[in-house]
Amino acid sequence: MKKLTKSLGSFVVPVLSIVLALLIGAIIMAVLGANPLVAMQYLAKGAFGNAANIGTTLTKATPLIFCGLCACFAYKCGVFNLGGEGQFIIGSVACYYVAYCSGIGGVPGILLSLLAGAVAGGIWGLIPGVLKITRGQNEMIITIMFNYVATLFMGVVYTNWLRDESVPQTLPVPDSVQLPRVIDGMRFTWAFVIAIVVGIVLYYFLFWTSGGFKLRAVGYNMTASRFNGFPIKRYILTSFIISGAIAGLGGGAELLGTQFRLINGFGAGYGFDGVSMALIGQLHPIATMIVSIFFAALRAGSTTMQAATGVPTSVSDIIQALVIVFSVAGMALVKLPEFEAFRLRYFRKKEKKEATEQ
Amino acid sequence: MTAPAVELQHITKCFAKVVANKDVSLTVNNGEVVALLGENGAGKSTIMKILYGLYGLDEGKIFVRGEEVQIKTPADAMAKGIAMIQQHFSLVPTHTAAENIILGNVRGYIPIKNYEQKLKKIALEHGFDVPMDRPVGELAVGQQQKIEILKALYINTSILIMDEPTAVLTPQESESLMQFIKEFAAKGNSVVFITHKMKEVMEVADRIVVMRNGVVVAEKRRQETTEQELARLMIGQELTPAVRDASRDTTAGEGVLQFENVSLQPKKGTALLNDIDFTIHAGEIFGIAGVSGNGQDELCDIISGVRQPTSGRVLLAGKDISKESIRARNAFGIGYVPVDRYRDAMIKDMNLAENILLKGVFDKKWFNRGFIRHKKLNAYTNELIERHRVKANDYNDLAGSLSGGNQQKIVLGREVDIGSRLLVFNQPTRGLDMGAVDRIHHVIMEEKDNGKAVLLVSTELSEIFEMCDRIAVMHNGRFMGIYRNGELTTEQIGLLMAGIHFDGEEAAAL
Repeated sequence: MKKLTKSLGSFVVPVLSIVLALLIGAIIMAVLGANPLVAMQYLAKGAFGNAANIGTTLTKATPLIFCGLCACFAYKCGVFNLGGEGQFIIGSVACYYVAYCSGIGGVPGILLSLLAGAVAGGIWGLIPGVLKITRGQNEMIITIMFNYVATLFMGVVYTNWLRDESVPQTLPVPDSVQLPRVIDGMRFTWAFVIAIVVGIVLYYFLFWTSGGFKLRAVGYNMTASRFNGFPIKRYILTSFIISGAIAGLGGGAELLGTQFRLINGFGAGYGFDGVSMALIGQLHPIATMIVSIFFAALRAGSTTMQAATGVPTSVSDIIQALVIVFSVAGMALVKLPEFEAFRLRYFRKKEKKEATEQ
Repeated sequence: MTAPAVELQHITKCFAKVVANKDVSLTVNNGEVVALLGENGAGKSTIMKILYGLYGLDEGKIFVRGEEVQIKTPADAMAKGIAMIQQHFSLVPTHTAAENIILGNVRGYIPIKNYEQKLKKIALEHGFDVPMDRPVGELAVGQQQKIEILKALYINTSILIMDEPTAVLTPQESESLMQFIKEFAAKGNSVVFITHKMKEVMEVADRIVVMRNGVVVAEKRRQETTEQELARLMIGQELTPAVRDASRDTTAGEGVLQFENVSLQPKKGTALLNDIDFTIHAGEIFGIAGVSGNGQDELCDIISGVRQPTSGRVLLAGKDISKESIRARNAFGIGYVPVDRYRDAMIKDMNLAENILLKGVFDKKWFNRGFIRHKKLNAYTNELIERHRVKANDYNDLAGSLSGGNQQKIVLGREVDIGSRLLVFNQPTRGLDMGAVDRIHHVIMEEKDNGKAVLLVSTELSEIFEMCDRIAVMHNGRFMGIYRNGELTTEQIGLLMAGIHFDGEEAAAL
């Protein structure tokens, strides 16, 4: 019974939310005068219809995965990092600087640039962490504020310091440090592979190693952890740094793999998208990655849908928003005592029925 | 014969998961003291909360003085002359006694001085000496309880319900409470008090209603029953209490834990621990008696390393560990069961195996190159569940899904295995049912017989007397003395707990 509750929370709710959101999306499509089945078909085709489309979907999924993992890791460790966006941007700025200015090309250049991105993201996460453990500042507010600082800092970089002549953007990074595609004919690059590897490593770290266990323990119950001799402040800082570094690495990978240059709007929205991915994925790294790919599919497919059926892409945005609303509400619902009572009554009846049938 | 003060007929109450009361019928006569006896979760509090209007009932009827009534809120109950004193007092700590008493029963302009006068008179009538003009947060717990009682008296209560009223009192305070109950009932009022302490029941109750698993299992007049019989009814089975070998001199063993003039002085205010000096020997249970909040928690924290003493030294087997980290102390073999297991000892959102790992995370045996050896850990957890008879499916149950007693058994099992030399128990049986208490007492005894040194902090004197070889009484961060078990009577300990040295023969302090 308990296992059932668990699976209800972690599996049924997200799936049901997606189904419900798609249903309502279909109704909206019908109201707009399109055949929902056809529209959905084009949505799916646009996302997964051929190799090129799948490539696009995976490309769009990559930054979502990074930011989702950043939030997933932080929340699993009890750190409420809402600064994924800032860390992502700072990571990309640092990555750009190294990639553009160091002059090192090829694989060493790529690795060095990505490392710079991760380090910068980690530092951007570390600052709110230090403020939290030394001054007791609320990390949610600080990390959100740091998002603005990072965005504006990037603005200075592409409008002043490294501006491309008359246009307010930087020059693209040299070809030699751009991340190559994994398969010819599909747009997605090694950035996606890195994201998947990070997710798997994170999963093993969190659930299979002593380090992950300790960080989770601190997140769940700080006093108990302290009573058992964990240096909790250090662990909290570690959580900030790692989650920031994941976002920073994501920023770097996005820059070298997709965008190539810093420009207005780079990275905007990914931080909070990541929070949604992590929450729908029940703070599980693997689930977070799957959810990210699903969302990317909705985004990638919507253009095809619009072109073929005239249903605007914003319907896809509505569906995404509904998934978030339903899954958050659903998770709250399964925790309600009334729901528990209903579930028990239902199953008790069933058991009784089975008993009498036997 | 007049109608009984209260009559509950066939009350049934279900919460989402469980049946809390099933077909409970109960009568309270005028001028009668009824004890509701039962273990935690037996449904004693629930049935009384239904009578007081805090819970609605699913089935059944309530009669007050022969009339059927609907009690939907505490206000309804109070209008019928029913008052209930909760286990956790509902007082506003920053308000004065008088303000607390009239709270909710006044409107508009409040001539507080008049009220104070009036209340003083009521208090004196019942022999209560409570300062009316001081914030209740500054008063002792016993005084606060008197204010709760005054609140009930002020609204002319004739049916008084008390939920575990003596849990927080010193023996002397309990004594005066019992006195009050007797006098109050003698005036024709009715008292229901909920408890699981046998001694009080035998002292004050006219009639005893025993509940188990939400049903009334027996109703006895006091003269017709014995403590043994009541205990059996309450638990539903015979318990064999852990037996202590009183003949052995336990101070002969080598000293394991030694406190040398340990003090804990915060920057502001009075010392939390004042010049504590004692030794616990191998194979000895050293008890610390006292009303909670007199420095016991701080003392335990200092042993486990959660806090640092401001002066003095703590020695483990002759080695100074005052400066060692918690981790190092665990490695030295100190097991610690803190008083608040929810907060300090376990993680309710993690499964049992992970809760075991919480303490063993620095122990290499659970890891293979940094990776958790889940198989070994799960097997050990299952073994622990079996050994301590924990009611759980297996290692994968969430700690939060277990009952308090079973959670405590898991914590205890973990600490007992880690604490190879010294075990520190801070109120290990607080709030647990008798089955779990029995199990825990047996484990503690076994560990003592295995030659471990044991420190047992308890606010229950019966537990102290049953388990401990030597007893220290704590008051205001000081030891009032260290005595062999048997040297002190309950009264003497009671005085020491209240901070009063008793006259007469000087007990040999060890």
